[in-house]
Amino acid sequence: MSGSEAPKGTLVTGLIGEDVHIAGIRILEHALRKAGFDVVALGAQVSQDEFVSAAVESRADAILVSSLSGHADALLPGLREKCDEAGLQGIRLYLGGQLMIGDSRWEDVEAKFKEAGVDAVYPPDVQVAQVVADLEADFAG
Amino acid sequence: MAVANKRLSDEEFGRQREEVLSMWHTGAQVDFDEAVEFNKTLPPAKNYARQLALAKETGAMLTRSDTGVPSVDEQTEYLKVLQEEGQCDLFGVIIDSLTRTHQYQAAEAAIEKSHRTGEWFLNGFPVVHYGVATTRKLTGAVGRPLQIRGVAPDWRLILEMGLASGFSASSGAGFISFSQFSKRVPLETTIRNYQYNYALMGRYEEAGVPMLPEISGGVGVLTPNSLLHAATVVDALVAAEQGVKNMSLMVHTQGNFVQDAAAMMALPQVCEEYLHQLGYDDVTLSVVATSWSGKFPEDPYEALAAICLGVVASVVGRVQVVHVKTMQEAVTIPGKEANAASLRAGKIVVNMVKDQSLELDHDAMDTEKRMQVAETKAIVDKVLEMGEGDIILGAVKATEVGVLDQVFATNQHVAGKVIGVRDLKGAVRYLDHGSLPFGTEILEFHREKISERESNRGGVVDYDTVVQDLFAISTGTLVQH
Repeated sequence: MSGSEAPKGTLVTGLIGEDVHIAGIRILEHALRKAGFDVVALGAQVSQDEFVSAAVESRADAILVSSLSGHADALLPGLREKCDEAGLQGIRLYLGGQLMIGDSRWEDVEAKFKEAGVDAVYPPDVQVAQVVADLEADFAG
Repeated sequence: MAVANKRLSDEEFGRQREEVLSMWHTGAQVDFDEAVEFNKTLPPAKNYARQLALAKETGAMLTRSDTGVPSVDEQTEYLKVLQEEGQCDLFGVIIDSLTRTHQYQAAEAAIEKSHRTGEWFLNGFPVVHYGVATTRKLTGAVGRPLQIRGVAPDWRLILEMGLASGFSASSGAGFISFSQFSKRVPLETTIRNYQYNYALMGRYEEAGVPMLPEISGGVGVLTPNSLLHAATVVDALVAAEQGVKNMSLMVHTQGNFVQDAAAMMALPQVCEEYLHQLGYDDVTLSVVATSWSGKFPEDPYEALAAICLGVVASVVGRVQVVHVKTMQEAVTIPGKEANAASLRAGKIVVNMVKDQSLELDHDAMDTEKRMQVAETKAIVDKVLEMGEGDIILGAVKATEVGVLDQVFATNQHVAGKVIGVRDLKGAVRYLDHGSLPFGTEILEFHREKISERESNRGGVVDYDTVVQDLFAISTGTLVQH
């Protein structure tokens, strides 16, 4: 981060469910910190409730959920509602990773999670720089 | 109470021992004096520490393979195939994850279900479930030393059971079980548990049976060596205080020949220095190298090539043991035939290379070794300073502020500020050194190496490069320019 500038935003990150595939989200956290965001990293095996309470405590602007177990369709639904209940209406939700098992079309996968209240959904081969650029754009001004 | 690096008193050890052996009913089968007598009836050829000390003396390099299946008969058959068809010198038996997490009841239920259905469900050998008599049948089926394998924050009952049953070595260590194998457990807790493990080994040693911990500092994936060396030294000092006299230190080969071989020489050198500095003068160190620690190619022949290259680096690095992974590593839990074939390939590489004095680029090797030692000392000196001479008190404080750190840690108490990347020749460098207490010489060295790759590719080395590097070899090359 460059000196004493105010952070561009506070982000809560973690792997949802029993997932421990930590490398991807760790690299993204480094990149986001470097870009000037405050990152509250929850690491592996994070439950929906843990995401929500960390976001409340840190007054986060967004939650970044990583999922590589292929079970995101079972783990993600309900998170948006829990955020609403906790008073986090409108908090931005980002999701990325190896979301589903099998050969579903990406458009279908993306639509499914957007319907569940996720603002941006990323495929496994997304560039780190792309995610950082998107977040910067989303939080500009 | 703060955990300090002090030998456990007999009272404290005895108190914990009672607790440990009552964690599951088979714990009652462990009788220390009887176990010592049993171990003394085994030939020296079956004692891990003795075979490693001999290898160090004669310059031999031994091969090791890990397996772990839940059926005693199948595990026995597996070890026999590795011994006979794989010419394996040392065996690792992996403990299943239910046992590792103290879910003994669940492990028992899974085994009962196996007896009903004929299908097996556990991902390793449930040593605590089987207990002493049954496990001795397993260890008695082969003529070479055995090690219990796995890492967990609380490994105490598994170790008790293993050492009483004919195993004479164990993997795992206090720092790695904290950083990579738990999420919330504090370092004090894992270190306290490992003090017990080392104390148990120390007591066997005093009774005339050397027992050996194999210490790994972390997971060797895109991780600068000094980060792993420093964590290894921490555990070595804890083990020495508890009376351990033989230790094997692990180096993870990561693909750059000079760096890998240098790590195999730098680690025992720097560890020896600290042992000596703190007054532990009678510890025998050996080195075990893993053959390729990154993501494996799916193609078994490509995987085998990567393994064999790691074996060559291990010969150059003059280690005592090379842990030979298997050619099916990327795709599945390996079968015994593929495992044995991989071992044979590794062995033929050892036999082809061992009598040649392979010399790599002298200057590069010297620089690499010197830098690894300097970096490790910068970290460990700071840890000792923070603990006012006590490595454990220091390690706890140093972890809090990121002076002891890991790259892809699972534990939320690890700072995780450090990240590695490959240089132009594939050696792993610090892209970000986080809060490690490095001076300018070290930082400039890493910066310069990374900038060589940047000049070569005509672009910056950044986080997307780190992602590329994680897939090195599995996608065909070590360095994508």
